[in-house]
Amino acid sequence: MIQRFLLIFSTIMLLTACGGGKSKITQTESSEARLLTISQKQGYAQVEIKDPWQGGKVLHTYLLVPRDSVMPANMPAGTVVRTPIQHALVYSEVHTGLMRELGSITAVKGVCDSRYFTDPQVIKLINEGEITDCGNSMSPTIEKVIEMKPDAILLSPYQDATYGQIEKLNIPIIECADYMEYTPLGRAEWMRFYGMLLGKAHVADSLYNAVKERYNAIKNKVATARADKPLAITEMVISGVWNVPGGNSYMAKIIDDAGGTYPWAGDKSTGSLSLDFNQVLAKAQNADFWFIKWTGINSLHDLQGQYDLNKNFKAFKEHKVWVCDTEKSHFFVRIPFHPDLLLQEYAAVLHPTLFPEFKFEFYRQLTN
Amino acid sequence: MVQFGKSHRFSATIIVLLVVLILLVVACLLFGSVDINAQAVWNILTGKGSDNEAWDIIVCQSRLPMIVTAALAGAALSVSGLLLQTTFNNPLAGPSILGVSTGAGLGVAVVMLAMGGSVGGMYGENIGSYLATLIGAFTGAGIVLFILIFFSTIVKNNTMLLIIGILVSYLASSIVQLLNSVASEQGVHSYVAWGFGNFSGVSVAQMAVYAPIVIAGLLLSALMVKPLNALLLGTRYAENLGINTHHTRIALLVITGVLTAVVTAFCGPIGFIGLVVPHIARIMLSTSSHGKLIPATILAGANVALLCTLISVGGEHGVIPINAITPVIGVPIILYIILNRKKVVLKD
Repeated sequence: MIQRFLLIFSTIMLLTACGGGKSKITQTESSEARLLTISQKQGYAQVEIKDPWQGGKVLHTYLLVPRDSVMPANMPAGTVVRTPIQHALVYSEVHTGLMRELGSITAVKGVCDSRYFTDPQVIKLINEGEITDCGNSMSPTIEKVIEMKPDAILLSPYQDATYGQIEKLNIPIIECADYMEYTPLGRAEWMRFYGMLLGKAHVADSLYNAVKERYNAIKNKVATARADKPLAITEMVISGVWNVPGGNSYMAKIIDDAGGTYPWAGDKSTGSLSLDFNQVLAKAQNADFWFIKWTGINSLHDLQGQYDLNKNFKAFKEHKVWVCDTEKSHFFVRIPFHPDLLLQEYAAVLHPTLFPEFKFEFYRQLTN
Repeated sequence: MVQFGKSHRFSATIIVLLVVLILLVVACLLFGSVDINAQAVWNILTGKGSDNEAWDIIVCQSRLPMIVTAALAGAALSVSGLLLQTTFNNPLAGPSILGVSTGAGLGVAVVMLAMGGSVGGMYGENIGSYLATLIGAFTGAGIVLFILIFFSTIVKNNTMLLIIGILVSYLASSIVQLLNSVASEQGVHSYVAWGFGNFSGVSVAQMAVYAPIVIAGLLLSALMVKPLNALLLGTRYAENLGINTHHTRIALLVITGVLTAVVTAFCGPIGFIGLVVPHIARIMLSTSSHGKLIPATILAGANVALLCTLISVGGEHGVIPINAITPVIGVPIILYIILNRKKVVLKD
């Protein structure tokens, strides 16, 4: 009861703060993101990121202090980040994509793994030298990093991560553990943290609230309108291994929210299960729908060519296989902070009569 | 303790290996990632079928082709290792050590990364892509073998030739890494997954290409018994017996290249089996006569590959990559060979 009161109170305070001007929030708490806790203190914001790999431990604590403010006294231990960040080195296009959406693309001054970037604006800025290409994210070109003088480095952490020489530069490393969130809205909510870093807290809050509202509207529409919950599977076998999302994973949640039944819903894991083809066939041969994210599969023949026994699934026989070309669709860039778009597509596939006019952006149905 | 004569020992070894082979085949049919009871497996194999369509597919279209694929791959790689160890007169030679596997892997990497990771297809718009993979593997293995053959005309010392093979292997690995550094994420993912090794990827249709090539390679290697035995006695002695050692080496390397390339293209770069199994055969037979070693190596290779397959798919919680299992079996044997080299190597 007390927790609910605090949540409502903090949400009201947050929405009040979104009204404009300087933040009046004294304390907020994330409602969907389980790894992220944001607290407004006197003169700074404290952001605590839980360690996704070791329950109960803290991965990193950030103390966000506005650039034009005097450094507050008696701050707790943590990495101080002066906001808004203006010279960011960003490892992933997921985060540059969000920064562009928040109107802060000019804060991106360096990227890693530039060959994976598909955003024409970022590619243009790299070619013009406005954004520095700092090389491979696993071992960035340290001299280029020093030369571009970043005031923050946004990277994706991994278990027991060490970041080599980057750690010794005394530059705040923002560990973007959003990809380890368990739910679609949980991951999307991290945009609030990134918005605070970029001085765009109110823009990010508005964007998140809109995403959340759309997501819940689709979820509620499916839940109230349909009793049937067709069985759906995802991905496919690659070199003998079928990486199946765990029962508590992001994709399992999307299927559930879209009004589908997921064969591994009873599984407790949040990551992927490495199964072989036979395990998937035995459990889900009668799956009604099959969603695949892969480039180069343009027909059912292609899918059978990838692995001959794929033809044995009911979804294959009934031509209910839907494929997303990840290279053409910008799926991995857009979906993390817009899970409503993915939910809409899944819901429209699983319950087409509810969304008769819907035009698909990411997935398309395979034919012969 | 019963002491066998050499001919009895050979017969006993072959019988033991055949019995183990049959047991492993039965085990691979009965045990897997999906629990199917023995009665159901028997009914499916005898054409009666089961009341579960998925089980019928798993036994007939997944487990059976996987068993044949693994057995042939194990035999092919093991015979390749045996031929290379004799050719280079070095017990630590093998298709993976000499760079033949890496060369085949490089060829596959070029094809795979050029296609963005969409390989393995033989239908629709992907028609011929698995053949492209096969050709890539042949070409890669062939280039490495050409380099080895070229240097064999200049460098007469087999140890130096082995070192050249290792250097070529490093070079091929380096090129693969460079290719990976410019590939798409999906291409890298596909290549990494392929690198784990997998015996379940050969479909019934692909078996029509895979099995004949492997069986032809094994038969050709059996025809090389006489020159192989002559090479054991040294190049000069072999030439004195009328063996053209240069042509023999080239023939052996070509057979090795074909066997390694076809297995690598279909199953990924399987390590250790080619290096280790010939020594298992030598230890069991205590001979270096290829007339006995080749059949024993074929059977032992098939057994080791089937054992790896059984371990790989035996867990309910997921697949263990083949290449994570082969070193567990291979490394202790290699250490044993190194520590007991004088006892094991080439005695008759």
